[in-house]
Amino acid sequence: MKNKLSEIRKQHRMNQQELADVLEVTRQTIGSIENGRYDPSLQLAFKIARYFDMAIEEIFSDERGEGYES
Amino acid sequence: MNLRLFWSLEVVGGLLLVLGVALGIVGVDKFDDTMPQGDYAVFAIVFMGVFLIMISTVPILYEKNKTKQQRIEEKDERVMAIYQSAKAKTFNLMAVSIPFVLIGLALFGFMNKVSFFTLGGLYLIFIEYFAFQVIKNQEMM
Repeated sequence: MKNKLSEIRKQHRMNQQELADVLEVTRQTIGSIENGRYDPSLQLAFKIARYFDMAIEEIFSDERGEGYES
Repeated sequence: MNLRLFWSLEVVGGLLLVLGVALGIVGVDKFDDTMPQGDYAVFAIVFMGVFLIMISTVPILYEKNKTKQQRIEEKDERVMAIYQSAKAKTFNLMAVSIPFVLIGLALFGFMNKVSFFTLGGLYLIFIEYFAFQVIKNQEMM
C-alpha cells in the first residue's frame, strides 16, 4: 500500500514524534508507515485520516494506484 | 498485562508465607508426625510464598511506574505485529524440530519410555490446542 503520510505531515508542519504522540503510536511506526514498510490497521488508518480531516483514500492507495482521491 | 492475575499470585504467596511461618512455629509434627523431615516442608512452603510474592511484585510495580511512552510502546500495533510474527515463526520451528529431536533421542537410546511418551503426549496436546484455537478463531472472524 502506498501513502502520502510524509507529505501530509510536512504540510501540517509536524515531525514524526509529534504525529506519533497524537496518534498514540511510536515514532518508529510513523516512520515505517511513511516508508511503506508497514501497512497500518484500518483502525489506525481511520485515526490518521480523522486527525488530518481527510478521507482514507486521500492518504492511502493500493499498489495499483487506486485511491489518492481529492 | 493482566494485573488481576499478579495480585492473585501475590495473595496466594502471602497466604503460603503465613502458613509456612505458622507451621514453623507450631511444628509440622503436631498435624502429621509420620511426615519425614517436616522442617523441609516448612521451608518449601515459605520459599514458594516468597517466590510467588517476588514474581508478582515486579510486574505490579512495573505497571504502576510505567511511563506514557512505555504504555504507547506496549499498545503499538506495529510492535505487537512484530512480536506476533516472531512468535508464529518460532512456533513453526518448534512444531517441526521437536518431533525430530524426540525421535532422534529415543532412537539413540538417550530417552526412556516415560520421558518419550510424556514429552510426545505434551507435544500432541499443544498441537491439538493450536488446532482448537484455529477453529475458535475461524468461528470468531
